[in-house]
Amino acid sequence: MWKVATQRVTILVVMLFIVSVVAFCLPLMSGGDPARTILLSRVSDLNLAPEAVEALRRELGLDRPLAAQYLAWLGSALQGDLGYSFATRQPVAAEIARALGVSITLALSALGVALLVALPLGTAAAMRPGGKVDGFTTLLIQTLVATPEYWFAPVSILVFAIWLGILPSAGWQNWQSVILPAMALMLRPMAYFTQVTRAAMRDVLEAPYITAARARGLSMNQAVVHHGVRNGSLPVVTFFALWFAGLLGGSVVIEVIFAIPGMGRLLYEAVVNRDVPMLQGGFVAIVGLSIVINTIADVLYVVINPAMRGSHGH
Amino acid sequence: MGSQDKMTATRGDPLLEVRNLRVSLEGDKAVVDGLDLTIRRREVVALVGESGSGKSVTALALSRLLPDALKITGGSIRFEGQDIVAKSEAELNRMRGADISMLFQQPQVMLDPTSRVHAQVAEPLRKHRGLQRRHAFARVVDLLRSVGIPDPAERARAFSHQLSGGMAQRVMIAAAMAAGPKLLVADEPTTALDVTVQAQILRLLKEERERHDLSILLITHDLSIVSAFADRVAVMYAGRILEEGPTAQIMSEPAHPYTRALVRCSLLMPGADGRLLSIPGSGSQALSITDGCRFAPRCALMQAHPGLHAACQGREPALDPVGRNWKSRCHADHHLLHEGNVT
Amino acid sequence: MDTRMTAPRASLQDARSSRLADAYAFVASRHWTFKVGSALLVLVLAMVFFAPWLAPYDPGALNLISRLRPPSAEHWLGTDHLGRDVLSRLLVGGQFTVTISAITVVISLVLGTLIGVIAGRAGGLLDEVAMRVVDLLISVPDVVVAIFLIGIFGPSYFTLIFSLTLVGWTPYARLARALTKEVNSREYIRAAEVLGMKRSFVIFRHIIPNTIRPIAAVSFLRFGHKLITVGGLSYLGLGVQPPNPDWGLMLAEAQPYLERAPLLMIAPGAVIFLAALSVTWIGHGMEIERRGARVAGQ
Repeated sequence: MWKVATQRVTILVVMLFIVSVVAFCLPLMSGGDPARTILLSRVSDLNLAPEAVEALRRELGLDRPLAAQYLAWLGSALQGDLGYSFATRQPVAAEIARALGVSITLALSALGVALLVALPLGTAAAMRPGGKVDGFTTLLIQTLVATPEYWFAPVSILVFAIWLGILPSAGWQNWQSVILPAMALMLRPMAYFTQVTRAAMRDVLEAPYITAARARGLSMNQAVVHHGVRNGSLPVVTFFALWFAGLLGGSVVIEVIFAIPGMGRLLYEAVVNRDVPMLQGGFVAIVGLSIVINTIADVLYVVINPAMRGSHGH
Repeated sequence: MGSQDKMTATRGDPLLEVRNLRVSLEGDKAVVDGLDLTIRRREVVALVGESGSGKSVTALALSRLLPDALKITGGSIRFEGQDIVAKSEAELNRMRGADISMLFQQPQVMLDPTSRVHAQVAEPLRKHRGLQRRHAFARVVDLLRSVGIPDPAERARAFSHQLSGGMAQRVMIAAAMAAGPKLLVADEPTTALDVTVQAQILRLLKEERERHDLSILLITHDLSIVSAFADRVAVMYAGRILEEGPTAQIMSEPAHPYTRALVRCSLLMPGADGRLLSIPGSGSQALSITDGCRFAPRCALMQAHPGLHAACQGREPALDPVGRNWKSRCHADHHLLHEGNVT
Repeated sequence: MDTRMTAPRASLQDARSSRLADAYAFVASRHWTFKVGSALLVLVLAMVFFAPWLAPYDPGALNLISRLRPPSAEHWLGTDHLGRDVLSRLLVGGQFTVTISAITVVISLVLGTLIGVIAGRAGGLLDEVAMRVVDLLISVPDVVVAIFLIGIFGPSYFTLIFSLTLVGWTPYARLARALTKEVNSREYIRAAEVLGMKRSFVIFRHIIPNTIRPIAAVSFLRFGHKLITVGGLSYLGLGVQPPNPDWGLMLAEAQPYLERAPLLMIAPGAVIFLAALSVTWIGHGMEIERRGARVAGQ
């Protein structure tokens, strides 16, 4: 078991390293000179004195070899310092932390509701395969998966914010601000969660321990609730983690539509503003977090599933 | 549970009476075809047969736990005088665990791997006896102790993957007995266990019978268990009962050629030519025979007596008495009955 | 079940016509959504390919006099904020999205399947490491990678396809590897090896034909996902650049006029939705028959 763990940690570290190198080096390779960009944004005078540019380059350490710059950056990064944003002059790490909080709230809201719908729906569909609920569920899944969230979002804005006026059309002020974006974000995870739950419950319903529970006097519904759901929802746990990791940056389009200060929008604006430190820090944060959360989810799965905890080989 | 006086007073009425039970697969193919079975109070009846004879299906039918593909398409099952084929799901839920309990072949997979032992054993107590969770736990520990599990309080908190086969079956027995049922349908409860453990489990079941006024329907293909354990035996083949009677007599002097063949095979005694015996042919086609005895194609008695051919192949024999509380489904005349018996 | 292992046909003619019959039988036995989806997809593809001839107006023709007009006899879907005919823009607007998505899917498919099959056949450390990498990459949002790379190198087709493929190969690898492992244990692979056939030969002639159906099914589903992703990137301005027509771009342009002219937003979104739905139906339908039978690994 330890062999597997070391192997996985090694791969994790190697991948994080590769991601960090890519995140750091690529923005500097695009040809634009970051020093010029900064000066331009500060001075807004297209005639930049070359000495000023040189001075800034030296100040920012941009004249050193790439590898040295990377190591310097990495060293600071590991201590929590990811530099300062070109656009806002604020520490990148702080901005990321703030944006992360927003994205996490949004992601958990969307995924939480998705799960709340998926578990009972998937279970109900599994209980009568080929029945009406099952057929409806399939159609629902297919529809949800095919719906672009950036189409659903404006439609919901039209209905709820413009026509009905009960929800805000943009911004991140209060709990009402979360509803429409979360709704748009939950469509696809809801579909996948339902699909996974249905498949898992189909297997669970035929499991011997369900029959045994019924032989003790439990009704089918009671047997499913007490024994089926826990076993059938284990696969969804992994999925939940995967989606959570994916939404942390992947909700960018929704964040832009609703003007929400999340991780995705942070990265997008870094791109638009050619904000190199933010780009570097943001990309590493998103991809790195994704990878790390994935690993944690794996560990959690083993912990939650009592059958895998023991020394019995499965 | 149940005093001596009460037992003798109701001794006469059968606890379970199955008449002409028919269970069909997907509506047309009958897997159990005209099954008759009677179980009295405090009686251990063994239902014996090869794989494919329909015995497991019978077990599930008695608790009304058949999977969707199999349906009861005929006959009646009367438990304590009431026909349970007609009962509603709610009534059946009250019956299962409290009146009729089941044991299964592979005890470890019959336990929910994510649920602790005590939670599952407590279910019949909480459902049928209305016990609260706290009281149920104490009662569960008592039950586990009574079925011979050491360290019952520890074990009660375990998960199924931490139990050995024998231990798991004891847990299942505890759960089955928790609400004090009158009939225990045990479908091959010892087949998947080690031989030494088998004996322990059977002994335990015997004790439960003594203590609790329990009837047991033991389904098995192992004749050695039958001799040691059952009061009566019913031999099943191709969906019906071929012979039924007191164990001692059937095992020593079977009346039906099939039973005879089974006994010989199980004794592993070589035949006249020195080779180990087996029953020629296979039973897979038996279910499709509509005219005549289903065992006829493999029947040694019929081979030996050409005069029986017409009857055996033309008309299905009825389950007729051949002795006291002893029936056999065979066309053979009385004097032929015990031919070929080895003592 | 490998139909290619059956006895050779009597003649090539028979082979061709019976393959056609097989194909027809397959389609006929599918759920209705498969059939409708297929028809829809054909419609969408026809729209994309024949758009230049089908479009009633030049999609780029400005007409600042008749801006934001509702649907009428001249303009079936009305006009946008610059007076351009919405229908024409809609017809032409699919070219970029559909083409890019298709190319991305094909490359991801080839790359991912190859990696998956090699990992599955090799086993051992290579397999372990490859699958672990897949596990970690599969949750990285392709949108993020695309934004990052396009932001650095500019919105070229190449960058777009490259960035989407970078993470997009992972589902194929996982599926292909699982299928390979399953096929590995089949007898004819062992027989081929015993006869001394080369490893690459085994991979191409035996394993791949058997795995086509599940992989094709997944490809359709991934195609739908890509359509939406590419549309999203265009929405953000990282795909097609204005004034070229593109579904995603049209959605972004419609945003300020949501209240005044909702059709501007509804139309392109609906088309993306229908296109994605059609391929989803096809992808699901490949493994399901008529009514609600089990889907392998659904």
